[in-house]
Amino acid sequence: MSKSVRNFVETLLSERGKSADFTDSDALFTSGLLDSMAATELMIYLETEFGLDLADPDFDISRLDTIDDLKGLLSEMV
Amino acid sequence: MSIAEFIGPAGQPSRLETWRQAWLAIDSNERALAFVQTRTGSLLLCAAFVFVLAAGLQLSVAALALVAATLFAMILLPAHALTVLVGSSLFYFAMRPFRIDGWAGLVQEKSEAFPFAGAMGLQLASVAIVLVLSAMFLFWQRQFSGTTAAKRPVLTLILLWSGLLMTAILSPQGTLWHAMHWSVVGVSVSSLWILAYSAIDARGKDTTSTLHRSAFLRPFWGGSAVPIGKSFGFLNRFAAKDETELAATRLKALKLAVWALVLTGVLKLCEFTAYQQYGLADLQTAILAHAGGNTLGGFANWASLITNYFIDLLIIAVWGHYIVAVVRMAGYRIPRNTVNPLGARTLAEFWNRYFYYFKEMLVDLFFYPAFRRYFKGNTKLRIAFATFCAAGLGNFLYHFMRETYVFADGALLEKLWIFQSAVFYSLALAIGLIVSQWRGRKVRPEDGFLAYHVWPRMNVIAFFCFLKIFDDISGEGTLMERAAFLFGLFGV
Repeated sequence: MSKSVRNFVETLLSERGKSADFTDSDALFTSGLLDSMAATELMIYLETEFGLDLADPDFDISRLDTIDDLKGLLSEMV
Repeated sequence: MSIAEFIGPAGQPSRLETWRQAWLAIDSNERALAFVQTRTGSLLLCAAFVFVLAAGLQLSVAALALVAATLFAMILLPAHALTVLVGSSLFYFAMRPFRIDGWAGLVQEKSEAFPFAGAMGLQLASVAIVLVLSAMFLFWQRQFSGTTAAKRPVLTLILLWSGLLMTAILSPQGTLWHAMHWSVVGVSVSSLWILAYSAIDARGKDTTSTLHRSAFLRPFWGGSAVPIGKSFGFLNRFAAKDETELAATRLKALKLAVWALVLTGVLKLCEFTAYQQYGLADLQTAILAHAGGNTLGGFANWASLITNYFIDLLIIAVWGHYIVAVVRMAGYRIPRNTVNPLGARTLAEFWNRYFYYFKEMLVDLFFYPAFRRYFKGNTKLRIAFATFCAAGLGNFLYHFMRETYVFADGALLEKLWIFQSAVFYSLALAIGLIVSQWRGRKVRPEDGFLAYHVWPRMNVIAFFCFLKIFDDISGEGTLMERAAFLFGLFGV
């Protein structure tokens, strides 16, 4: 599960001409590596692939910041 | 040293290239990092930085003095950096609360009805009122965080501001009430978007005090009403964590300022060549000439359009680089505002690369709220509606609200026509971005050089080049006249 999320993040990075060389604890969005439109793509991916409901207006987008965060989110919500 | 020695033999890096590489890597050079961590090193670096800013001639003497004083104070008083930052920004807000001349001119004109200290008195009174109102809003939002209005701070702020505008429009001309109202509307619209970010921060993890956030309505690094660096929630994510990171961030600031200086030279050269040497007209002049029946001719119109596009890119890049450089010098390693816009292969990517903080503002304050609430069951419609809310509605609202000083003398309906081109521009941009996002497969390098490198970039350049014809809020040149100019380019 986390491998496919990682692959998706790698695709987002390569589409933006950035290196896919990052660790599970590296910040993706708050570091400026990925932008807000990439966050939208990631949210749609998580919703469609894993059935997560991230549409809650109070959802804090910083919970998507690292692969570790995403793993935690998936284990909590799936 | 001979030129040959300087350039170097074929196949080997020249001395110039060696210097360039060393300069680009200076923020990871251990000796440079160690030197900048000393008191002398950081002061010398700051002095060099201020010198580069001054050489760029982009800041007034007063603004340069404030930037220099703030940066030196932040270096000399690192334990009080936040206080210096907020204090300096508060001073800047009091002295320069308006982001555009239209508001400053209006307040100057209305100040005749203000009995204390003329325009400056009216300005300072308005700043004080806006500061109090902002603090009240942020404290209220914290106190009543469960209410719908507190959960939707952007909408609440826009509605409150619209109410303020309506009462200003209805207030009797020539009265103190009228003057105060319009001045407060002008000051508040200049700081509304950074206040919106502060309100959003209050719902997140940022721990900056409400008092500091409510006083941070115009950062000392200046700029338009678009908050470059957003607010403390964003800035703190990029704050240097230790002395080494702070040194690297400051060296990055110097590098960016030097790059901005180089681009300033390129910009001046382009402007001189296009407008002085070849006598080209700027785009607005060409459009108005065409509208007045004195068209400059097909070739001259095309030349004005294309020149305007590239000069506009340079202007935004230079302006944004200087501001981001100052933010970095203050210790926040925020992303650049403009990053190689000509490299964009999609309209959305161009928007991201051209004016990052404006796009971020529209995404944070308009796109996400709509994306999380509406059309959750239909991905395409969900993205389209959220994009429309950001690039269409939010984009138009930003420009409309900024220019509302035109309503101060009445004739509301008559003045609304000024915004016809802006409505079209925002709609066309939103539709372009929606179509760009809907298009399924993205081009890949294996699709071939032309398909990957050339055509997508040409499409993006063409779209924004033509869209620029309608990028007007002055009211000079109607929508139909601008459309006629566009068709005239193709001989229609």
